[in-house]
Amino acid sequence: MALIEIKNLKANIYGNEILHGLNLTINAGEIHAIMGPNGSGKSTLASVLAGKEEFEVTEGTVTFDGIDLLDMSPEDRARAGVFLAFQYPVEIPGVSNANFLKTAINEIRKFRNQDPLDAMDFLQMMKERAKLVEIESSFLSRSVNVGFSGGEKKKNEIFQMAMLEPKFAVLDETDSGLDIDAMKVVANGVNKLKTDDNAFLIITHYQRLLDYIIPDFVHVLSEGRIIKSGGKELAYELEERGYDWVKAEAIA
Amino acid sequence: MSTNISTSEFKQKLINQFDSLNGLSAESNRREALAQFDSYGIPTLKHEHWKYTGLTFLNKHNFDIIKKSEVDYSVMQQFANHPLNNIEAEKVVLVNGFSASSNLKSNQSGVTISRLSDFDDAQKAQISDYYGQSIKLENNPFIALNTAFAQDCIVIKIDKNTVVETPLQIVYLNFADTHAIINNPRLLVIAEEGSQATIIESVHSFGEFASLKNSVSEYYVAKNASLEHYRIQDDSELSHTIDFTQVNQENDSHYHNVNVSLGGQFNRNNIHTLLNGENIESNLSGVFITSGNELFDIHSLADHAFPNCESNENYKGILLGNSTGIFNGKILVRKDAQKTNAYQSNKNVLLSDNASIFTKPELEIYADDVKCSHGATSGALDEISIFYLVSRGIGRKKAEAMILNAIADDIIDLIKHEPLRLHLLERVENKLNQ
Ligand SMILES: Nc1ncnc2c1ncn2[C@@H]1O[C@H](COP(=O)(O)OP(=O)(O)O)[C@@H](O)[C@H]1O
Ligand SMILES: [Mg+2]
Repeated sequence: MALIEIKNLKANIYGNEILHGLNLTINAGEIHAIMGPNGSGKSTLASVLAGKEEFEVTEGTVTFDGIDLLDMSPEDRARAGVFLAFQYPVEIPGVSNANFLKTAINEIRKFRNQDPLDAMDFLQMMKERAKLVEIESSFLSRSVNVGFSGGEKKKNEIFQMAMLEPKFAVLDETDSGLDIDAMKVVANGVNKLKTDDNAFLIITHYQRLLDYIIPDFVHVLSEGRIIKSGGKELAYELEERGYDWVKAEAIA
Repeated sequence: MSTNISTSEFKQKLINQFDSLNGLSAESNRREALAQFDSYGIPTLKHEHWKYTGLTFLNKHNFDIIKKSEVDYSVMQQFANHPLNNIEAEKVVLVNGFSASSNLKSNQSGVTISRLSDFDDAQKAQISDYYGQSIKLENNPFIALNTAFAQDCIVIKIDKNTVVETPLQIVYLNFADTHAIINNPRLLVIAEEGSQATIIESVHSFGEFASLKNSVSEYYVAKNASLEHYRIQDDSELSHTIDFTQVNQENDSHYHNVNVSLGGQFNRNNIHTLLNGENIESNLSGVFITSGNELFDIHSLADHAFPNCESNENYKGILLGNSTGIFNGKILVRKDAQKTNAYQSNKNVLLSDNASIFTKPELEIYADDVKCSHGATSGALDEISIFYLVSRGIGRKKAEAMILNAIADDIIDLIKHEPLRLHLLERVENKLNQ
């Protein structure tokens, strides 16, 4: 069964339609990549899936794990296992990473009728997962993303993903602005977290990341629609030839 | 119970009570204060410093000035179980401004706590350079009112080079159980050269009627002395306060005021610091959370009179319901106060369309080599931050509370006395999660 099934999705912001009928099905155990020019709607898709209220869905359906995702509040989506690694992570002064994640994990556990994690287990888990993304434990007591470099913010997104163990994660240009070492850390994080039961949607501009996270499918998003899908070799072709030929092909 | 009375009637009513009271100050001084109060009158929105601070509550409750002889100290029992009675501190409990006991001895050496009404002439002479000397009656109707009607004053003296280990806490209990009352407490704190202390003031109202605490406090922070001063108000809808605090600092002294206000119907705080020497550090900070029809008002003045001093001001407000916040922060840098650093910041979050905030920085700078800055922001909670938390599974209400908590905690964390800090952190968390 598909883990997530997006059908004919149309969404607008302030009356301006950005997604014009998007279709995409992702099964558990798969990694999909979406590539596409700036402004084509990649972040919009990510925001709609995460439940950002400014975006209005006018048509279509999104079924996640058999349930209607669009009907759920953003917090319930997260609790059900959807995760978005933001293109621009937000700084939250005064809220420590540790407190933030502890609150999030316990709210998710409550949703799933599980007891709250005890403090020791939580600490242990945090230390373990911090290692996975090579962030120092001193980060954990600092305010969320405050004073973090661009690369540290992106690593922190992957760290949060590692802590929350989502079923379906969208990574929105997590590789942008990262040097090769940081990018490897991000890729390594994804590869370690990947199982047969979860799935990833990797939004990226560069084929580079896909050398380290091997996608099962690559899609081209242009003007709010997926206009071409292929295997991982499509990423190389896009890197070499740009997007115009795909667009031309799509019109033809 | 509540009968409306006109402002002029109210003023006359207070003036009529003058003769029936045994005032603290010299008769001539009291008369002068009364005349000042009479000539200024009750401020209206037309008065510069009262533009947004409506005093209509004065007309609503039939306030009388409380006499020392009428004070019912039984209310102290009601305070016994209050969490702020249980934080570690040496306490001076005042009911409507009066202490039940003349035996206010501190257990700490180098600290004297006394009632001015118990002083003999020699003792009075010793404080004559301090009592009433840092304040002005003119154009300050409530200082004038206090001076005309104050019937006692708590005097705290910290001897030279004394390091006071346990904080001193002045507990103001307002008790209005038979009718609405105004009390006029006075406080005089003298921190002598090289001394260090923490002073906590807390305000608590009891009884079924409204109370107005109209207090005047004078703090003298001598050369090299260091004073931490915390003012806590977590009070009821019957509580009204008009506080005037004047702090005079001398060379190399340090003063830090943290004002935490979590409840109270009407709460006007005037805090004026005079940096009367060099190398002084003077910090004012505060956070208030208002809801319902509450009003919180801070009017501050940092008066730089000498070179090489630094003042910082950092106030934050969280406003709910129909509440009102007022911040008026003035920095005055006099001609001689070269190399002054003076900073001011005021940030407010409005959680309701019906809440209002009025914020006004005032810089008056007569020296040319100074660094001054001020910044004020007011607005709704940042939706982008909220969404970030929510997208991780945190419920919206909780996400809001986390962000608000962070704002308040930023100020509360400045409180160095751990039991008080922990109490307030918990209290704010509970309040914001309600
Ligand atoms: N908050 C917003 N307000 C107005 N327009 C927006 C907003 N977010 C995105 N858009 C518009 O939606 C279109 C798609 O943007 P986006 O989804 O961010 O593209 P991508 O991530 O593919 O670069 C762009 O034309 C952009 O201007
Ligand atoms: Mg984008």
